[in-house]
Amino acid sequence: MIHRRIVLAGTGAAGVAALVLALSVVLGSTTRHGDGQGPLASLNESGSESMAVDPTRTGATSWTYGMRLCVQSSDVAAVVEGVAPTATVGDGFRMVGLGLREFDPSVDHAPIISVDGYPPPRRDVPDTPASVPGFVVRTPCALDPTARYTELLVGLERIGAAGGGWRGLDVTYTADGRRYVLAIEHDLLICGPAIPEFCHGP
Amino acid sequence: MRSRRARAGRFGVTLIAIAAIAGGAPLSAGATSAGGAVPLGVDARVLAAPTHGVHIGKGQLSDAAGRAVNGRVAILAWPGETFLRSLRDGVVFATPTVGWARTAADGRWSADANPTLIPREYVEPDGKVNFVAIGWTSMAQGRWDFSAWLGANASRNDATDLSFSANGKLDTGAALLRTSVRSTQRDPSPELGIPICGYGRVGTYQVWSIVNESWPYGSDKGWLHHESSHSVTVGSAMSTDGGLHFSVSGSSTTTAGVSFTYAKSIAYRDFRVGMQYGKFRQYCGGQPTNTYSFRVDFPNGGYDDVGRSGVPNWTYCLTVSAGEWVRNRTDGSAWSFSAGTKVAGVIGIDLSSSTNYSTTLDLHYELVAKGLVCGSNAVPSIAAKVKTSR
Repeated sequence: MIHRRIVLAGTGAAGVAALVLALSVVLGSTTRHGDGQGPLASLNESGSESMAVDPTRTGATSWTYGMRLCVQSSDVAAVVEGVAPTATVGDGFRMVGLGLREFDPSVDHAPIISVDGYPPPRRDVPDTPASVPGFVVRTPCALDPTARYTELLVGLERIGAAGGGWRGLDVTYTADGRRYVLAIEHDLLICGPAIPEFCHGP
Repeated sequence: MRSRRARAGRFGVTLIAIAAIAGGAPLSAGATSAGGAVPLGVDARVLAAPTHGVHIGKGQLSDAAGRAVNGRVAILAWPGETFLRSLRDGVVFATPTVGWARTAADGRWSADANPTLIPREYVEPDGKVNFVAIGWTSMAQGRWDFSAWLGANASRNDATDLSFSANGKLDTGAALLRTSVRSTQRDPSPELGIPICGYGRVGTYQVWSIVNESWPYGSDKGWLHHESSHSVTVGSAMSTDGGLHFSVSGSSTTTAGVSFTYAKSIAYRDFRVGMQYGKFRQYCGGQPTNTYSFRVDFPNGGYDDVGRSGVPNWTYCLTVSAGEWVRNRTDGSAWSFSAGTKVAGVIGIDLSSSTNYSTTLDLHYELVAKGLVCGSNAVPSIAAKVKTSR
């Protein structure tokens, strides 16, 4: 069963973010857009991605999922307000953390699709993730694998055999004085009966 | 053995051809209409009156030197994918004349097709029909294949320029008539002693396009799900010398509504999608002529995977835990059909294809342990090719 769920993403810089949010709602100026259609992006083009971790193979009970965030123009930074699933599937999981990191990729310091555990092991994610609300994304979208990289990290924990997870992410942010929601078609999943289309193959 | 079966089928389909063409006196080879001699394959009866129906296109008729010439253009219907899928070897189908137009002094023409003359089974579900335009003067003739819509999309029919040249010798079928008379003595349908023309498929050719690759590491597995739902327009070619030489003769359209999932495997593989081309020979009055048409038949729904060796060294790598990683691409550039037009080995020339071929490709990897997913030219989610690694 798919149902929407709101994720509360921290309270640190949330005061300012909440004020912006309230003003934007009052002004009715929030614009929802797809990847590559607004100031903030992930793939920066059409397409989607799914990662279904397999508890029977990893032995882990929680995982950290990663995905890129970048800006279309280096002149227009994006201030992230919050992150939530576009939709969820199943009830065998719960969200245990959110964070953002910015780094210069190298062979020993690479972006992730997913790693076992949350918080992520330092050998995989040596950075200390920053809080989501108020994080400023300035890294331009680039194909260069060595270009500076901003990565959103989401932690999910398995709490039941059914598995499931997030079907897409909504990243709420402001840029150039306007409020947006970036809809990323990126599924963060834990294998189980809730997602029978994954983890069995043809 | 094959020719005997083909002959039996040919007579059977000639009956279909007769049914498809409105009744009336049989047409003779070397037929003439009020405007003079008529090329073999054109039903002179349709030329007796102006065609009123659906406007299907316009163009300009020229001679072999490219100079505009004054003549006539007849429009023949050619079956589409649905019909061709069920066409048996050796069976001849009708190419009824469904319209015609006289050119202006500068060679320009604009033609309608009479929908009541088009066999229902030749019309694709989206209203598109493959046509053959035959243009001729008193001395020369030429041909151009094209597609056009009936119904709601007919307003789009002028988007393509259908100009072509009458660069071959006019063939009214006079020579054929002489042999045809002898042939009909063995014809189980004596009333068919007429050179009404159609085409039979005499060969098929599978052309493969690589849509992606999989490079799973160790016991990891890779597979692909492929869907396509748009139409593809592919160049066609014709020969009037018995198939010795082919030249480009326009294009034809087939839908590409195929969907399949390749089995998962630990092998390094190419994933390929097949398109079937058909080589069709013209038959008139039960006799083969020297005219051949080579054109796309239909996507055969088939697929193949071919082993590869030599693991590529791609460095756009991201860490991933054990499980299933999937990336989806849905756009017109997910892969190109251009490789599917490399048919020079068959007919001596390569053909063209439209660029609006749109597909969905889901590339899957099952990782048995923590590892890396590496893209060939970008991060894996948008890279052209992807491998798993450790």
